[in-house]
Amino acid sequence: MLERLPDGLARVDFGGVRRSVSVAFTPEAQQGDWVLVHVGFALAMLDEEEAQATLRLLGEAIDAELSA
Amino acid sequence: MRYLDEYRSPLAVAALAAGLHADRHVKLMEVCGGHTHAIYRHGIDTLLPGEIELVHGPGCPVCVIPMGRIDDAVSIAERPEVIFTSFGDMLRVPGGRRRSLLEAKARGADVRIVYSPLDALAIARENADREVVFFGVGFETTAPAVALTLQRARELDVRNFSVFCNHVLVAPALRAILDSPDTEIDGFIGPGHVSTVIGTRPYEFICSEYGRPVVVSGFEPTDILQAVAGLLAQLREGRAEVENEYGRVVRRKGNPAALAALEEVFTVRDDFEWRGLGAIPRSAYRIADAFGAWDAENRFEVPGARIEDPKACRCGDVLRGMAKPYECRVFGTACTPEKPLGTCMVSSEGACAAYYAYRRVA
Repeated sequence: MLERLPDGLARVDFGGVRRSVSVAFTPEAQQGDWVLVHVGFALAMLDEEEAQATLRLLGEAIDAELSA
Repeated sequence: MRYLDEYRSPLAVAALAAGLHADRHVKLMEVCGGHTHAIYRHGIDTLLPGEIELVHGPGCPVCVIPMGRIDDAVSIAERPEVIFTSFGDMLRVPGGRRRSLLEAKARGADVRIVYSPLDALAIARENADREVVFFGVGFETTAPAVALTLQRARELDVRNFSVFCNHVLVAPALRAILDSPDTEIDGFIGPGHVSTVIGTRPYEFICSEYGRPVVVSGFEPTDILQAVAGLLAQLREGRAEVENEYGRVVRRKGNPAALAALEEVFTVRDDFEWRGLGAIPRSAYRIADAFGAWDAENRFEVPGARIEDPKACRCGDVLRGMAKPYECRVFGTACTPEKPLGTCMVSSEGACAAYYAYRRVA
């Protein structure tokens, strides 16, 4: 998310494409947060800790396979 | 892009796929059409050992809308005072007599594609002398956006806007599939994005009442493979629980603000006709009486007819996981994405469209 706008909107960068979306359902989202957007609405904020935990599991799966 | 590429790592995919095995034939249903497309786009089906079969569920909102409702939409769109707005993928869906919204547009109806229901509301505010109708289609993923748009319409007192509501609910459809005597599903890959809204609690009955495991999954290759691995582990250990592989965006309680909007704007219908699954009790939303002034079904007469699917089309069997798209006689011949007979070939989330695009023909 790039910035909050008035009227419950925010500007979001989709890997290059920028558009305004509603943050009515993610009122706590701030600049720099990652949000999941569907039909112009941010439905969820990305939980970076959870994301890292999944990536650690993937790393372990790779290590296990390489050492097998 | 960050938080996408990592979950597509070929090394991680290979490592996860190598760990998958089952000692008997296992049938897993991916509920969501987004998963169906991810599976074929990334070739995940080709990585699974032969004893693991993926079948495709009803989670394609365009696919499950029956023909009669398309005819109702076309009849509203053909009224001269109406600007009919819709997501793009509903336009090619044929109704009875094979008339689609796209054909209605070609004959002069004012049909417009929008990205968001808020765009439809903006069109209404710019065209005060016209009636602007939005075609509300989608599961609980999309319904909150429509709910908020209706709250906004009331707040701004926009009186020339209404919604033709066809929003459906995921849990009753899963129950209908579990109750169907001829579907034997061992476990479910739970839908990802709908779960950001409803959370994981609505799937708990699948475990407690039907003894089947569920793993809610994201849409990247490693997500889906981890979900499959989680289901196989539960089956091996004799467990049936709801697990959440997509914890980076899905919380058990869902999104409280979105659920509150749904609660205020919609009421559950007594029953709703689904393509392929028939009438399912309490499986869809209608607009609540407090928002009745914005309900297109109150504002316009619609035919409301029940129309049988074309005999040759097996969308219904595909939606219940009973038939593979290539087992349908008209797949890729009389029914193609350019000239579809059934909804599963139209939608970007439909199983037939996925098999066609990624050439799974046998």
